[in-house]
Amino acid sequence: MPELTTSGQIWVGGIALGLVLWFVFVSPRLVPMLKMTMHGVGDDDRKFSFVDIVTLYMASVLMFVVAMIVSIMFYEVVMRYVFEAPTLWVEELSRWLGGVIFLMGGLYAMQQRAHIRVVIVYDMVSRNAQRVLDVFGTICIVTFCYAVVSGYGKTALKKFETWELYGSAWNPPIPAVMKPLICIVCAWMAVQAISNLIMDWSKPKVIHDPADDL
Amino acid sequence: MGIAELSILLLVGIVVLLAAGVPLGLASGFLGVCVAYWKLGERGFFILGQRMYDLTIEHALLAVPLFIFMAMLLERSNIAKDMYDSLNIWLSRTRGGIAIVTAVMAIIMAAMSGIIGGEVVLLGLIALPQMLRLGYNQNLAVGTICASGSLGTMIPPSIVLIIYGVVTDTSIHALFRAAIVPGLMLGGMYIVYIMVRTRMNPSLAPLPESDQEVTWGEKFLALKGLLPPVILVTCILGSIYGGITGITEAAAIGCLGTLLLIFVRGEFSPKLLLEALQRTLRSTGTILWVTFGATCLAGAYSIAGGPVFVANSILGLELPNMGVILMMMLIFLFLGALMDWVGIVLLTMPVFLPIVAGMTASEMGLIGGLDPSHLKVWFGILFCMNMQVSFLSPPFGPAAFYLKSVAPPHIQLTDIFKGFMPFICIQLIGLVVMLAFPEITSVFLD
Amino acid sequence: ADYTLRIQTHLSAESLNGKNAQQFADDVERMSGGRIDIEMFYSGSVVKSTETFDAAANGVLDGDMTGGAYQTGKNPAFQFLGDIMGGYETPWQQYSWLYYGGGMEKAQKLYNSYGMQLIGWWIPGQESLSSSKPLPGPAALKDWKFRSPPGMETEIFAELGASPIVMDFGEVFSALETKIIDGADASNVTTNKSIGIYDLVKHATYPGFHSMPSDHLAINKDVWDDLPDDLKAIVEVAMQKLSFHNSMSFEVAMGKTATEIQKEGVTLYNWSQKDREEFRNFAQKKWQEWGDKSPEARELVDSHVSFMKEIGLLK
Ligand code: NA
Ligand code: NA
Repeated sequence: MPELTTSGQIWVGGIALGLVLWFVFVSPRLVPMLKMTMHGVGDDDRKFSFVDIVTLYMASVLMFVVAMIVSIMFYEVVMRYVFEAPTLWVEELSRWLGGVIFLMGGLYAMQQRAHIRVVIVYDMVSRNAQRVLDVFGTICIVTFCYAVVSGYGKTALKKFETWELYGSAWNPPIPAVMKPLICIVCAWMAVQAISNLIMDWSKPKVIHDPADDL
Repeated sequence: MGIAELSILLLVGIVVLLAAGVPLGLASGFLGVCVAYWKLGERGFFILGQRMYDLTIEHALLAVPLFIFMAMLLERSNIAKDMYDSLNIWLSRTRGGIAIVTAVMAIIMAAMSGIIGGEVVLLGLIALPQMLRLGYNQNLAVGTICASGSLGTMIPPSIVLIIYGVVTDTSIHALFRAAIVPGLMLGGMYIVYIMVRTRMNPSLAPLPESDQEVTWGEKFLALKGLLPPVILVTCILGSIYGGITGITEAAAIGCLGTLLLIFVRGEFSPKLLLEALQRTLRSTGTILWVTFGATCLAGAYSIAGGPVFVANSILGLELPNMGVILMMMLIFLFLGALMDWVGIVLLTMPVFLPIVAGMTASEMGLIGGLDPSHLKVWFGILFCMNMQVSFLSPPFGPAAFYLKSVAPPHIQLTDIFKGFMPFICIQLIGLVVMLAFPEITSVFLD
Repeated sequence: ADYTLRIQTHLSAESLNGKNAQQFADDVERMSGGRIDIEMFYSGSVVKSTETFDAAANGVLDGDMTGGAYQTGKNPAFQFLGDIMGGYETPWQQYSWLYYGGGMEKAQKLYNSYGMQLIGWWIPGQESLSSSKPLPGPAALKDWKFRSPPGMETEIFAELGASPIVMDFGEVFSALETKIIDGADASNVTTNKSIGIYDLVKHATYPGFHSMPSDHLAINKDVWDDLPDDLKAIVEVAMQKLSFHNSMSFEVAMGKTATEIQKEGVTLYNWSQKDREEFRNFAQKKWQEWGDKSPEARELVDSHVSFMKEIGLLK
């Protein structure tokens, strides 16, 4: 374990405690909803791996971040416009929270197979050829994720250990948290991609038929 | 292998990876890995994580999840449906009326947001299903939404113009004023196109089937459906231009306003809110990861010396001034097909602008007469017009990705791009007009 | 070329200091007879400007031409190498501390601990506050709503009764126009004019006094140590020429800009010696508080204060 400054320990401890409570009491009630795909379509007999469940538990926390951003921005507007007492922390906290969902939202999108792709060739080929393309895609994803983690991991760990701050008046530990988070997210992105590959392996060929929607 | 060969390989690479069905963001990220490795070996991988970090703490991007959240709330409630029902009653005799109104809404929304993404998602969630429900041609609907939804970065406030101003040392205030007429012109051209096209081919935009005239009483009652959106727009525009909130904060105010309207209409339920939040998270992740990949690739390409290569190729041609400008437009269009606009500004501007700044302003355009102090502003507007094209042009067309992230699943990316084609042509006509008559940018300049 | 240095700056290629940076690159290439090749990257085109230092320390870039003030999150001591705030009156005094006040040696220790070598500073000059309201003296700062860059500045101005608003730079222009903020601390008058601040607001302090950032050149230490001694000397000498050239060209440019914008209806406020002292007193209180934040910051604050006393800036 890296050694942390006192302020680092307080932050990490507080957030960890909050997450554990949330996972125990709130997440199980949200996960069934989070399993639903974009348009409510999707097969009910879909299986979920352990990796999927972890991602969905994360998503059960992350989905509320946007609501938090809205709330604190409203608070700032009221404080500044009505009470003429602008805060130093709202702009930076919203920036920070935004970064968290930008990064981690990608994991949920991966679990949901929601990332943007072109399927015109993919839909034309046989299921076995599709499996080959899936393996190829997964290799690309894993390579990218490996490159990010290996290239940025050392710096990120150092930022975490020295608990590097943002350098502003409020001075939140944005580099100390977000740089390691990039590596963690990329590592998990690779895991999720491999899990998707395994889970989708035995799936029959799906053809996107416009008639399904009507 | 030199940078020229690498540039061509990248082009081939992105096409191959996309055709293989690799998720776009990760495909461009993977190419970024290759370029970084080619230039610096494993040490170069640092650039990937760093570019991602730079993006995660970018404040302007917050408008994206906020607009998406607002869109999801509007879509889950019946506000959007009621609005389009009312419009349908009012416009029951106007061919293409709903598409025109959608374009007008996009122009109004462009004054509320400086970044592309949120607006396209919002229109895609609200207008697209309604236009399809009312029997509009899918290509027309998709094109209208994405082309007019991209105006957010043309009509001020605009993050494209801000970044251009900062990178090129140009007055941002002047850029904003100069962009108003070209922005409205582009919006106007979309509307004219819709009107002409739907009159030539009425099946693209069917009128509601009813024999009897809609009475004024019915029309008056239908106004009720228009009330919530009008309140919302007033609330957002009022808080920006009344000096109450910043641009990003205004999007948050819009979310709260929407929630409040949903309460008042008695449509609120925890399920509605939770589903809106869930979908917002997924769409945000989908959209941002396209951008993450794009920024990794642009960063690696720029450290590999791409920009210098591009500038030298232009200078080597020894063209006359307008020829050089046209070459630059071609490069913008070419890069715009492949990468994100931020990447393009940072890649090209440091090498293009010194060339442009050395040109004689009075020789620009068809009839000439551009004030020398407006040269950089004009070039900025030209750049901004090019970026309008880049949002739509395949294979890397962000507007298409934003729309795809919320469109009904049967609408494929390729269908979306098909819908864009006429609108890209309009944008190119607009660009030619700006090239021929640079004075258009000077209308609101001193 | 035997050595390639990839250097990034936050400045735009079109700006005066951007052009001066290019002159530096050309000088080095000429003096070294082409043995050193410098690739300049402008406007933070490789990584965000604030991250240039880390990118150079990690070997993706070789050199960082931004400023030390971006690194205060690492150690508050960087504040006193990046922007002392209300400290020296001219760039020349600030350079003197670096070369004759023992500054270089203390700064080098800090830079080296992050794997970087400080080569020198290139200071444009005093920055100006821009405002839609008159700013005749410290009293006008009461409830003055302005967008302040992050860090110690926010604290000093809050102390003076101003109302600093944390805002992304991208929103500053709309915010000035819609009057969410009364003013902004962007840069010196020349740079402010070029990005159009005075198209929006018509009041500015000039000559400035509150902030004079020291832009630096810092090079990855391994890369620096690899250079033979003659090339090191070339880079150092070219850097000192850049310092001289940059401060001098800005002296001229800012004077010209001041004349121009006054003609365009901008009112300039030259604060009296007494007003400047009042500001400096508040600033010094904050220096001491920031000095307590780390041993390195303490060392630098003490060094500045004793040098300022030596040259008669402080009593
Ligand atoms: Na806009
Ligand atoms: Na494009």
